[in-house]
Amino acid sequence: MAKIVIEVLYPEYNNLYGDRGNAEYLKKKLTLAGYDVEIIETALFDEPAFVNNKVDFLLISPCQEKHQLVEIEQLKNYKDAIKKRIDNGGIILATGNAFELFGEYIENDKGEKTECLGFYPYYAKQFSKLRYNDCSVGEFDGMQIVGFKNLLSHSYGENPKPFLSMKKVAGMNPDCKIEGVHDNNLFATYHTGPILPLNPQFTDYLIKLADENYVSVTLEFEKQAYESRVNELLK
Amino acid sequence: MGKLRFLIAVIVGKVSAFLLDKIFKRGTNTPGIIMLKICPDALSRFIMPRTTICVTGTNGKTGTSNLLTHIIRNSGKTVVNNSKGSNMAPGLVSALVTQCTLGGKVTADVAVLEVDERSSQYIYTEFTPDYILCTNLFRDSIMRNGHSGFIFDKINDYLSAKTTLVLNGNDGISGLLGEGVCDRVFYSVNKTERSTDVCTDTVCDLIACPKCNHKLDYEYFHYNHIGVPKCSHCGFSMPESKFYASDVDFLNGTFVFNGDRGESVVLPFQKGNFFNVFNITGACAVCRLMGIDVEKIADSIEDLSSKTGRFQEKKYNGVEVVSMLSKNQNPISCSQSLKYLDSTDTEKDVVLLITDSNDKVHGHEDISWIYDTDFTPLNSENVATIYVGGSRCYDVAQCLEIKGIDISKLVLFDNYDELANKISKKSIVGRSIVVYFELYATSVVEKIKSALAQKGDK
Repeated sequence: MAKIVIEVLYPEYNNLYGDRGNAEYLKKKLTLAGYDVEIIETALFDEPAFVNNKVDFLLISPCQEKHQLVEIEQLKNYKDAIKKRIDNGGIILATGNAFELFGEYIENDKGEKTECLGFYPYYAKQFSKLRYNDCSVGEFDGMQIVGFKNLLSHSYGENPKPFLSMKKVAGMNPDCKIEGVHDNNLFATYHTGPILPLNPQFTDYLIKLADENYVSVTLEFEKQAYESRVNELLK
Repeated sequence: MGKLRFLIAVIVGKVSAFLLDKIFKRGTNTPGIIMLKICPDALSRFIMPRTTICVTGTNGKTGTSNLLTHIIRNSGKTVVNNSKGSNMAPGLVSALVTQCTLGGKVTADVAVLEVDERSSQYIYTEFTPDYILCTNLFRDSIMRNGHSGFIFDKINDYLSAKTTLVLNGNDGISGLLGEGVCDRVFYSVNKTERSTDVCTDTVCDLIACPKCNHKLDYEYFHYNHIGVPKCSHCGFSMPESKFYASDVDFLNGTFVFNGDRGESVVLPFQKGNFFNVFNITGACAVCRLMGIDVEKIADSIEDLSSKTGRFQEKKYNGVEVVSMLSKNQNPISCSQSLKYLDSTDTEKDVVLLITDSNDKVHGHEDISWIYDTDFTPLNSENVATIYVGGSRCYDVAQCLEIKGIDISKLVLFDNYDELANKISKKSIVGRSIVVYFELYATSVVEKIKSALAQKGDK
């Protein structure tokens, strides 16, 4: 039985909006497909497993803004390892404000800047006391990716490697039609919450990146759930 | 000019409140909405009573403020409260205008006002409450509340040094409100026979230490992150509680309330509703701070009917229907309600109306929260069929499958009329139906009940 390892980074903070659904869904599909699945949960001050071990999926979910700053400082210690993972085609799914980690910096509502990993030239600006909520549809590789956004920041600047071109609602910011990063097998997106169960086809695409021999497994209701959402949102 | 505007607003408010009450027999926020249009700073122009108490927090606001109102009234004081209207500025204004002079002097002795967490900036800036009781802070509706840190800041940024905070000493999130700014009094619940060493709920909103970010230890958990947090890395722990509940007896629904002067008294709580112990203890703490006798408090709680509108049971043609309101998009509330399934042995069918039934008006619902919900009680052997209703029924079903619920029990309907007919047709005498519904699904619950009631007529 082939083994698949999923690493969930800092779940004590990165668990705001049903984000646990992503790892749960991957595990369910992979288990049904006959894989032996291990989920590693890495806490803030521990060395991430992917640095020295084989990890098939690295999941980074959104967190509160004040915790984001603490996480960035930790992740800077592993900057080279993260860069190497991206360059070597390791799968990373970063959702919500985790998208911002890979950009230049995050500016808070007082104008203070926190330097990020700096892999891509965009930057984020937080806004105080207002949230941005949306149900959105974006396109990737012919797939309609649906999802939710619940954010306290937007991103601006250059983004040479976008993940999604938005068909409904905002991208990196309300005036932008692209969002996220797709670089090798790094998929970063502003979508929050259970983006994988919401997008079964994209999940199968991701699993195939991890193992090209994967034979797609379909849960009983996932197609109807997906199609009713796409139809409603694009109506 | 401002004074005249306020006078006009009060007159219009009083007239509209009177008419709405007499004609429509209901309290609304309309007087407040009109008044705030005429006089935007109306809330700051009321002359507030000697004692003003605000009750806020994620869960338990309504129950706690109703209980506080009841105890204070029983102690012989008059109370104005906003139980009939909303917990936002227009609701508060609507309540105050019914009990004030034309000059805006509130005539009641005490104001007990439930305040929406997100409205803090529009309320605490207008008047300074003597006490703010915060029941707890949890993750709540994503779309409305973002995350608990967002809500924390919303409250914390608007606190005045003149306010005494009454805080839940078992909550490491809301328990940090007003640090270094306000006088703070804590209440808590001692370890019970149901306390656990590890968190047994899906969601724990405080896993890392709020001070040093290392993994937080807990002496024990009551539920979710409510318990006794202690950080072995930096030494963080909650301040000592002045008031506390001990000897919680789940079987008989009683506990002992203990005060700071050695006073203690046995109090009842709604059986099966452990949150109730926290709400009562919090309300009692405020009453003790106001100098109300502990015996007087005990008498008031004894004569309070324990049933709330959130939980109802009634028989229709031999089929018992238990309906439980679960707060919209709130995984904590939904998970706690589902635990009821484990507490009874009767054979039952379950109806889930937990996603927004009014999404045609509200817009497409963000269903992320269902992945934070603990559905395991649905796997209980006593649960026969699980009906799932609403336009997001497939999402719920998919989530249930991912979470390991037996999907052969599922029956799905996106149309509520068809769902109601199906439930009634398949209902079996002696087997109860447990309906979990969100706020806007009240009419769907009525549909199911009337379908069941009509079944016998045929």
